[in-house]
Amino acid sequence: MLDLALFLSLLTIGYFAGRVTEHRHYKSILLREKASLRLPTVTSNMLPEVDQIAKSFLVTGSCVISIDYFKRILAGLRNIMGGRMTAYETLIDRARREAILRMKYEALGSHIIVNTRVETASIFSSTSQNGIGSVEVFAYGTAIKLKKTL
Amino acid sequence: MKYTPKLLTKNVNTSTTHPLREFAILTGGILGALILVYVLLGFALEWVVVPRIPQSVERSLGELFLGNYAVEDSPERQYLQGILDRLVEHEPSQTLDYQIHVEENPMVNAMALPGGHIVLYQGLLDRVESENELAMILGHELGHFAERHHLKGLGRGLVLLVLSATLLGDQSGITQFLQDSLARVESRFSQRQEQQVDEFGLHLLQKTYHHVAGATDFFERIQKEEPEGPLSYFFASHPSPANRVDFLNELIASAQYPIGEKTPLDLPE
Amino acid sequence: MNESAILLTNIDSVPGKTIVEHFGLVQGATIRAKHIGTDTLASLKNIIGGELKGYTKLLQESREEATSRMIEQARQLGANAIINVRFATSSVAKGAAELFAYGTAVRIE
Repeated sequence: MLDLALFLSLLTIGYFAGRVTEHRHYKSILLREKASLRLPTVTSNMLPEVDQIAKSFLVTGSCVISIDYFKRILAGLRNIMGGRMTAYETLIDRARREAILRMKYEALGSHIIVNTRVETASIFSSTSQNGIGSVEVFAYGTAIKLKKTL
Repeated sequence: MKYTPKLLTKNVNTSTTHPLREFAILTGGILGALILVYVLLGFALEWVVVPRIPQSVERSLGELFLGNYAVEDSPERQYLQGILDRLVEHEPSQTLDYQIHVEENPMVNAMALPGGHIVLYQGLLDRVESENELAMILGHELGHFAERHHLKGLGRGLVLLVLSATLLGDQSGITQFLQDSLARVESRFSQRQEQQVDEFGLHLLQKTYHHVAGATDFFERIQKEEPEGPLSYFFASHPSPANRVDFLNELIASAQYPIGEKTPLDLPE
Repeated sequence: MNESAILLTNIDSVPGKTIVEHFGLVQGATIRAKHIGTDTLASLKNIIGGELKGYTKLLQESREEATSRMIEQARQLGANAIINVRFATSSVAKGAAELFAYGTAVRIE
């Protein structure tokens, strides 16, 4: 009985706390995405003319996000049934956008980030057998600063 | 080439399903499937396998369990064995060799183990006042043997173990949650069984003593000792003492069993 | 806006076309799992080796979904092609496949 009560309270705390954190994070992501919109980020090698380039440098951004207890349980149940794991979708989406944003903030003052790459890794906890629940996203690219504006 | 900054208005990478809704659907679906398998396998064991288990297998199973309980022939045990033997004489169709064991444990409990072994806890013996109410408890345990509940319980326990171990693996909280839910289903089963064997015990009491005085004494005493809320017995393996008293009184009234003199319990030290 | 199919390439250009406008990064991701039956079968298949058809299908479906989500983003921006598309796979949860597709949304003529 006590186990069940503990489980249910963890579930409830996880659900509400997770929702609040997620909501806040999305709000901040949207705000910063809007602010950094003027800096184009592309996956291709769109190199400007050589004589226009003032300087170029590697920029990186990374972010580790964990999901709440409720979503972890939800994902575990989904793993049994199969199908789309909606519980993890926001986790990965948030981590990616956050990592890209951090990379963009590192490139402040430059005019374009080319050859952007995004890597995802999962961090397995050692305590449980399939320690699911957190992802690390790493974004990197080459920032280019021009002599005159594009 | 020009760059057009544009904000994405809609997030296509996340689903719009409400997490609580998904949780309800998943839990319902998985629990439903598990309970179905559990009930089907449990019944298959009860009706197909358990009736075919030979006595010899049961006896060796019993020895396996009995390793945990001290077998020590005290005057107390012989006295209790005497009460049990009187009951067994009036118990038809039994081929098992019933034996009483007393466990030095303050808990109020009695168990029926495979092979005809009845384990009485000292805590229970301390609370019993008349021979008649002890006979009722022993009759109850004999009922478990007659219905082969001790084996059926083992069978369903096995199914539970296999289901949770192989299907769910070790998924931290989830296994715990599903196991708890299954255990609750099991407890509803077992409350029905307990009522069945209470009835058996009552009839045996009447056959042996020709009256049913003391049949409800023990449960009444327990009820007075620990007055519990109405829900505390809902998920327990046994019905609440109050329910058992009511049930037995109804049976006594409908069968018109006489109430005679109680024999006081005379436990040798 | 061009309603026809969005062109995908994994090089810096669309051969035979000129890029006139670009919109930056677009991305699509999905994470899916197979039910416990497929998982069990796959672990049995692991003993004898060979193709795990259930998982092949899972990854294929996930990749298609990630791509279509990326295309959906490109449409929202008014692009008609995505260049330099990259695919990435990660294992965020055991038994689940996480697929990620990203590229640069452009308008070609």
